Amino acid sequence: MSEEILRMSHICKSFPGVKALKEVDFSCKKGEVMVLAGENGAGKSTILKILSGLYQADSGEIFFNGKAVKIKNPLEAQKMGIAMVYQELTLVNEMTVAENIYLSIEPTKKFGLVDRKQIESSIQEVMGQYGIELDLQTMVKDLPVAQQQMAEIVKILIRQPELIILDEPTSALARKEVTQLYEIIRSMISMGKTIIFISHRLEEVFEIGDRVTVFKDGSYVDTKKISEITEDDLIRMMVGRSLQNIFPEKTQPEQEIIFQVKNLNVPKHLRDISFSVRRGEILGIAGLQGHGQTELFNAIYGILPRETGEIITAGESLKIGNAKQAIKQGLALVPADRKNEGLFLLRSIRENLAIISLDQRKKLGIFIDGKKEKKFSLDMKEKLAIKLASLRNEVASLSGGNQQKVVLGKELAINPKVVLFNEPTRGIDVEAKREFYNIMHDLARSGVAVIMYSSDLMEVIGMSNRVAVMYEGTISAVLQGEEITEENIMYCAYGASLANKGERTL
Amino acid sequence: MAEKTLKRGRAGNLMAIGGPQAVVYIGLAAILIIAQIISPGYLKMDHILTMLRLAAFVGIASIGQTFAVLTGGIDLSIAYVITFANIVGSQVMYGENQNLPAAVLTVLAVGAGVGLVNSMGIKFLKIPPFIMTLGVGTIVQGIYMIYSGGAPKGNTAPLLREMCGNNIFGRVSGILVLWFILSVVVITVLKFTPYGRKIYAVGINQKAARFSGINVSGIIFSVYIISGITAAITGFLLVGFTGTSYLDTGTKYATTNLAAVVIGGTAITGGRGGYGGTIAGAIIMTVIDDLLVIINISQAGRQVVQGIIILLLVFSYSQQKKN
Repeated sequence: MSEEILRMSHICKSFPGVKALKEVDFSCKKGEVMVLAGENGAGKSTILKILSGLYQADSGEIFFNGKAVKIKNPLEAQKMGIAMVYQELTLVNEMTVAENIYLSIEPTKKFGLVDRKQIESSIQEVMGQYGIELDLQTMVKDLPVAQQQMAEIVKILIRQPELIILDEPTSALARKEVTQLYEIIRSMISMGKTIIFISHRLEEVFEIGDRVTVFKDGSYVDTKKISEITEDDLIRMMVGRSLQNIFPEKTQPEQEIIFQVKNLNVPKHLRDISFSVRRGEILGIAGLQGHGQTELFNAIYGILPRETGEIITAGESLKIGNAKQAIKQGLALVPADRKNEGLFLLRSIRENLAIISLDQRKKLGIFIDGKKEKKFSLDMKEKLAIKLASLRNEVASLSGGNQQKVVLGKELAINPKVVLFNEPTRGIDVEAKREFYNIMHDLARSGVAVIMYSSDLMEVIGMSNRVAVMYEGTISAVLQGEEITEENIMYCAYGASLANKGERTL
Repeated sequence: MAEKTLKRGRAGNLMAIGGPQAVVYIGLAAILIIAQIISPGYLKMDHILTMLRLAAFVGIASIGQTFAVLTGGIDLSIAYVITFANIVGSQVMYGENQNLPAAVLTVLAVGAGVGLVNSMGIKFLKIPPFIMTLGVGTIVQGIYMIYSGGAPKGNTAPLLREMCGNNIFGRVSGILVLWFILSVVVITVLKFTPYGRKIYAVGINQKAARFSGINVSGIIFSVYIISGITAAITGFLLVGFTGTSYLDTGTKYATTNLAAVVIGGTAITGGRGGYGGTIAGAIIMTVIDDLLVIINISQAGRQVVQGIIILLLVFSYSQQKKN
């Protein structure tokens, strides 16, 4: 048994309104590949950001090579020998690969001039050791994403870390490149490095991992040797929590199809997506983050250009080239990022509520009818139970839940036929969530097609009549009735086949 | 915690009522009192009307700037368009009333054209408004130098001179009446039409505007075209005011039109403020300039003061925002 290189114990971390990590433990041994697994929001990224100095833990201890350490910022982590390859690339587009790799640690000659020759030879040496090939003089912006990822890894390696954290490194890579990455990881191990690996692909966990630690809802679940567990075991560790009873009773859909998407394709994001929604139905969209859910909504809503794809309401094919047309034809979207996409924070609540439906309340053909607008916003406030002091206050003065209600209110003003909810309850309190669930229900019952994506699996399960699970930009399965379980959804979300469970299509 | 929310609520309320825009009128009153102290008789009706007539030029030129700044942009080509319109208008009129319609149309087309070029660069080439409008301004300058051959020709039509005189409506100048009408229109458009609301929306958050189905490109095109047109109107009226055209007509409006907007409490970051404040801003800039003349400060010194005023205001508003 090899020695422990890292031990994090009793780590706690809170963000406003959320306990992201509750007394979690995490450790790894020298020379292993430790996989960190769990659902969205389990706390995987949070603990690794604490380890790499990006966040500070509220409490808990970190031991690195047996010594208690405090990691105050990424530079300190780097000096200790801890390096992280982030999900989002951090390279500077307008610089060459070589310049990026040596950014901020450039060796210098006399007079502080950068020693290019030495830079290149040492990069070549490191790349040789790991079998990586890159053209050092290319601008980063001209490289394909996979090669940028490689450059990012070389940038880390040149700093000679002991412990390397890879946060979903394969999410942007094709099969062949993934294989190459495995090779590199294996050479890292043979060079005596230790790897922590976050992955959203089940097969990957079994291919490359030595041990796996599972988190759930910010808590530690268990650590197992990969060779001693099956895929089923792992899924079971990640799920398994009782359904909180905050969801209304499910609606009873009719047979009539009221909304349909056919053969939707968006290059790089979405592949051949088709689904339909029946009257009275709530269709849930599930899947791990970044598998095309937001792109799906934006493409339907006309924000993201489609290559192909038909959008049909009530048997009629719609022409949607931008959000304005989408709105005109009865589509509404509650976007995921309410502060940047949903609201005009520094304008009044009333103006925010009214902005989409301005043209419905005109007098003399050109002016805003102030009386009608006031009545409209008061009605909307009542209908959605928005808690506010005055409609004239900035919308920024409201709590998260009430802000989200304003977003919904401005969308409902057009009496939409279809409402797309993207993460409708993110960052809002339980009471507001319950209200949102009831509103969605009422909408579905009144004949509006309701489609909802949430990274909170329980929400998807609790609300949906059917669940379409997305994996790598396509719908990998549609589950309904008894099939809608956390376990099944996780199977499909990790790209595993549900063959043994009876896969369904629409 | 609850208390904090409450406070923010109140601040929000104040902003909604007028915020900096209400403060600017208090500032205007203060400056007028100071003026009266420095130069007794300053507040006589005749002098007030003279000052307002001068302020009207700044005020009209600042209409477009107010629109541009509200969308989060800026128009630095205004001074050049003023001169361009001044030269073209004078040349087309050539002192004849019968040429007036042609002159008006030409000048409006010139303004709208420059605005169109500005907006195309900003929207399609994604050039920041600051750079785009400055670049276009320089090009416009080159064009009117070539067009005029360095010596502008022509002069005002008698009718335009009348209109810009001091007594067309009793003692009130026609320019002042025009400014008043335009002000009513602009304030109404910004406050009481969907188009106005959309301008604020685009200025606060372009992304949310797009998600809300607002035609963001259309809004941006419209504000720069409006800006070109109001600058052109200013340049045209200045022909009537001075009787002829000059190569440096627009120069003194280069900073004042922006200063009027900023003093008027329109946030330089966009989305907040309005033309009501700009009106006071235009008067303040005119009175300050006049006062500096009274206490014998040279043109160069007055420019220094204008620059300092703009910087101080932008700084103080950005501080407010942080709080």
